[in-house]
Amino acid sequence: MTWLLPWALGAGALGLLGVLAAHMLSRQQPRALALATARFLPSGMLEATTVQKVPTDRWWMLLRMLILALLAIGVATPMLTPSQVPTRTVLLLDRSLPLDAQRAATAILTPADVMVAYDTTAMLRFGAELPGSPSRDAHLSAGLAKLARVRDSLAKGTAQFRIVLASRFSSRTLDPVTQALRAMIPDSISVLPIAVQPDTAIARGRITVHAAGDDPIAATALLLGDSVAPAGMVIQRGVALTAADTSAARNGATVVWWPARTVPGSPALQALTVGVSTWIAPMARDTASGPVTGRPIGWWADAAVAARADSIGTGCLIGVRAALPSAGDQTLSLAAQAWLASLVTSCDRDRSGVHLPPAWLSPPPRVADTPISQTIVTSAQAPWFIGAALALAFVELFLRLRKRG
Amino acid sequence: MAAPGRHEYGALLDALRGVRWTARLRPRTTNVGAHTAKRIGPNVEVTEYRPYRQGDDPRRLDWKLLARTDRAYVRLAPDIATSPTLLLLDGSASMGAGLGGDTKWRQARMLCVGLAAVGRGATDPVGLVIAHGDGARWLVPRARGDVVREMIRVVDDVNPDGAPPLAPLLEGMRGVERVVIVSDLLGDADALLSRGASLIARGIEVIVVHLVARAELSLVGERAVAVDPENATLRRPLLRSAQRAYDSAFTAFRSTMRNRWFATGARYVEIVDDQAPADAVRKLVRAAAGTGAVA
Repeated sequence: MTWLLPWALGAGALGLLGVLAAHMLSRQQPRALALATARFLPSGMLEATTVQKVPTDRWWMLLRMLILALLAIGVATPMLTPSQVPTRTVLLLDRSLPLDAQRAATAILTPADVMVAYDTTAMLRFGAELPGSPSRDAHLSAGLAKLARVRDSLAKGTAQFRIVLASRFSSRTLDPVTQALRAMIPDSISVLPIAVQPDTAIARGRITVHAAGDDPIAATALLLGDSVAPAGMVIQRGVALTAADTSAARNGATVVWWPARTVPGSPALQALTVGVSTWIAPMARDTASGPVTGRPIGWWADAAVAARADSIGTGCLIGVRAALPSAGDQTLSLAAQAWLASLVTSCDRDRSGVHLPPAWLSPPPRVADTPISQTIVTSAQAPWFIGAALALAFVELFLRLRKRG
Repeated sequence: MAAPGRHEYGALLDALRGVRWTARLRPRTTNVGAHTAKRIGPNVEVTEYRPYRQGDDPRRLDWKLLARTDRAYVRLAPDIATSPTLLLLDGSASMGAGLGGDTKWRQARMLCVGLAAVGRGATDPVGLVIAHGDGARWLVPRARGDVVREMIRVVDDVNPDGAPPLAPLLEGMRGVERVVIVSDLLGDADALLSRGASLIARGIEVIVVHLVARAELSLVGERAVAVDPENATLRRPLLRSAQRAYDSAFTAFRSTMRNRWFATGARYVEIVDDQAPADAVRKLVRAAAGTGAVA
């Protein structure tokens, strides 16, 4: 038998010693002596704390020790070690996945495996039973934090310890601390392929460009035709967004706000990457326009962010900060068209619900020294231990009140 | 409770043989005794004759002189009388219980027996009244030879108990010239003092024997709770740190008692329980004959 939280046993042992010490100390009146002149003694505390040679109220002490022991065992979560189970898999399950996808993910689990189901919090579950209906959001950090706490206990005594992650990697899955939490887990994390049906089929249509007549991006958008961009797509080349643009985004349209800044002369070549498409052309960074918010979707060659996408209402708002030269036809190249296609479909992944996992998630940050021995299987008795401890605590309280009354 | 053995009483009586208890005030009794009486009476030793005057007791007439000379003369002589003594013994619980055991009660019994023997030696009637929880035990003043033996039997028969008041026992007292109060004065001290003052005003000699236990004079600090044997609800911690306050309060109490009794005109003697009983009785007898308080 092993323990999921062995520190609870230590705390319980300390508590038992505390109970024993409390029963060795007794606050009572010292022996009484008849003294005819007692009236001349000053008043004061009649009771004093004394150390007894044997514990007082031994039955009460045993009851309290039993309560503490049960509580400590329950919190420590005993885990039984059956015969040879060489592998243990921990499934990190994104609870924002559709129920079908969650069921498909838990199908990989055996009775020896463990599931860490996370949404905004995480819970450790044994077996493949799903905790309930899907959640709206799920933060991988919550699951990783839980796994980091119990990883050593789960991995103890297993020949092979495997972590599998099932997530859609939506925009809210990752947050700034996710990478740091991932670094605390020494094991490799395999990403389980999830086939998620898009909620709705995304209609395609022409791109509306609000710009001057000779805008180079308007020409590129025209070349993309009406089968690439989502319907209602708007590219705003003005220096500011209009109320109509914001309203369209809130109502489900994808709006790209790309201020039409130009670079005089012949700027140096720059590489601008969105998704898997990289466009190399003479251009410059637009520092004159205001910043945009949202998750990064486009980067310069030096990893500086060039474009961000933000969910707004049911639509999406993409901000691009790149200035093009005032002359030239580089925006008409195939690379520019592919890049723009990648840009205008960035928000489609939010709608379809499936993103690519970040590259840092899968490989292990360091070599794990997993001990080789038997695999452990949990027992579900921990809640019973805690329940018994609480019940006995109520009994103790009742008896004490009755004794006083 | 261990009573003094017969041999202890015997040793005490032997030690007190020859000790005389002089009455400080002339007794008003007419019984012939060892003390000079207040009045001039028909004693056998005639000191003078005086012509009979109207109002004289006809029994004092010298009838033989009247028959011989036909003159009525009265025989006059300084009378000697007894001084009936009553010992009032405090038999409350505080006399029998204490840190040192029952030494206070033991000393009180020895004092009573010793004083009775000394009084009996002067042919004075000696009586005893013991106040204790079951009531009062009376031994009326008698001049019989076995009064000391009877007194031993009575004091040995009583166990200190309760918190009986002493003052009521001194009320309505007749024919007593001397009252000795043997007590630790921890009971109805104020009422007793008031009653004692009243007796002194009536011309009765009052001697107060304040019994104090050695253990009460120098408390040994230990982890215990001191309980008043006469009042179980009075419980105080017996700590070393309380020693100074206790000493101060107890000394003040004894000083107050001494001064107040002295102010009434009574004789006040403080006796410690570890004092030799014969010495204590001699000290009492000396104090009774002298003036002022004796510590």
